[in-house]
Amino acid sequence: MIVDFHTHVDEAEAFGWIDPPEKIVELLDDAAIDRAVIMTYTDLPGMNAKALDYIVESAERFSDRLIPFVRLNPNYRKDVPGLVAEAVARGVRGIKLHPTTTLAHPVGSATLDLLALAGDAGLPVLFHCGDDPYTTPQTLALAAAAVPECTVVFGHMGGYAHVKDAIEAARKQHNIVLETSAMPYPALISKAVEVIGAERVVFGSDGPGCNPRLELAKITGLGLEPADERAILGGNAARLLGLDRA
Amino acid sequence: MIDALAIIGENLFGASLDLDSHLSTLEALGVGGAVVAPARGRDYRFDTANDRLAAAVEGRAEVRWLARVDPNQADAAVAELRRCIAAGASGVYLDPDQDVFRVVDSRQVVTAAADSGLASVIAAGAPLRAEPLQFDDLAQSVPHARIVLTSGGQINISGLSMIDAWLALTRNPNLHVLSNGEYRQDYLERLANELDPERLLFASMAPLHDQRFELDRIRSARFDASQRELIEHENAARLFAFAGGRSRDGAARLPGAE
Repeated sequence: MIVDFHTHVDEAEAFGWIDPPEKIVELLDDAAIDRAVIMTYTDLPGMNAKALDYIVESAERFSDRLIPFVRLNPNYRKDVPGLVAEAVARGVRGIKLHPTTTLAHPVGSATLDLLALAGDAGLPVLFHCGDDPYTTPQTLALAAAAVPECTVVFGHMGGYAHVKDAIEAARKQHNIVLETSAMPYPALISKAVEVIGAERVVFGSDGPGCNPRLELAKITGLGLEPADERAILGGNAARLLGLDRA
Repeated sequence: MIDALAIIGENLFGASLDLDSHLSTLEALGVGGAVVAPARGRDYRFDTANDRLAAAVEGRAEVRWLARVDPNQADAAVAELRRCIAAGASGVYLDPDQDVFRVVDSRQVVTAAADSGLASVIAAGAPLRAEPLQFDDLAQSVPHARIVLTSGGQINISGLSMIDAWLALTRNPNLHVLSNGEYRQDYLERLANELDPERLLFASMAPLHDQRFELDRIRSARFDASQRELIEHENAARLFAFAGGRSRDGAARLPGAE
């Protein structure tokens, strides 16, 4: 089973990004990808109060394909515990945090409290991990170290200039998982496998903006050991998302 | 098909790539043409790097080379560019990040290249030095220059910088972009569909980026046949004066670069 750990489903008119669930499902079909984690572009609560409804209903429409994550703004501290509880009750399997859009610092108490909640609930937290302040591997590693019971997934595994930093952070901190979407250096995925092992690397595409077929080819073209490739393409995601228990 | 940029020679900043190895990889991938520029070597000298690359390219009709100069050297940089043009350079390559200058401070070199009818290829995306709207300033200040930006004109994996790059591109018809490392295939597709397919060129920017993956990137983007012909071949043939290159309404083809 191939699982794409990072895709988007949303109709965010303010951003001009209109990506209903059919769009990513069509791309998954094109790439022969079985399932995908989906998340919105907007943070909850915020500009779209119905974001949780949208993502859950999208996943329900394609229940054998799409796995919902809720995208949250930790700064809404009073709302977050209730939102996490509601999300879990409605089948959400993880949390997406994008500190560039929320301006919630990863080691601020609001985010750390949320990570603790996620850890208690067994929800992995997918952070946007790139080159901007609030998102670098160094910053996120501090958050991961502060809440070791939470699995922290580095989406984009450091972006452009921070990929080696992400690998080093994951080497030191064992609750960090690296997600491969969009970063343009295939050889550094092999390096990550060499340094931290395949069990903490997961395939993601950041589709539909990024093409899942291309992102998948980035993994399958590496010439990895078959067991490692299977783990990265789906085995690890199944473990993190509890799909192997479903 | 032409790979519109690779960086060749001993590289102070990372992996090194020699011309024969690069061309061999491209041949295996079915790419017949290449544009190459020198890396900064450990001796920090571009004059010798330019000469080495010119000698390596000599006699290869399928390869064009770009002179590399350091705009911080002002008149000396222009003199080196003119020396290289006389030796057959098809343009100039500038790297604001590695050579530490703001792109707006490369105006003298870019103007000199433009006055000779040659394109300036510039590494884009470094914060503080090579941001999309800094290229907007440069392009507006040298409107007769043809400026080709790496990485779609920006580097940012949030997608936020794409908006500034789009602004710069829509405001300046003299800006072109390479496809290497570009975050989001839909951005590449939008460039072709909503801007101008004559302003996007396939490039690997090896060895920073992987030739095979960058070829996969451009091949996976959805272009119609005429757009693809421009992006994968004709735009580079036109901008870098490959023998047999043609404009959109021309007829000649590039031998050996299919």
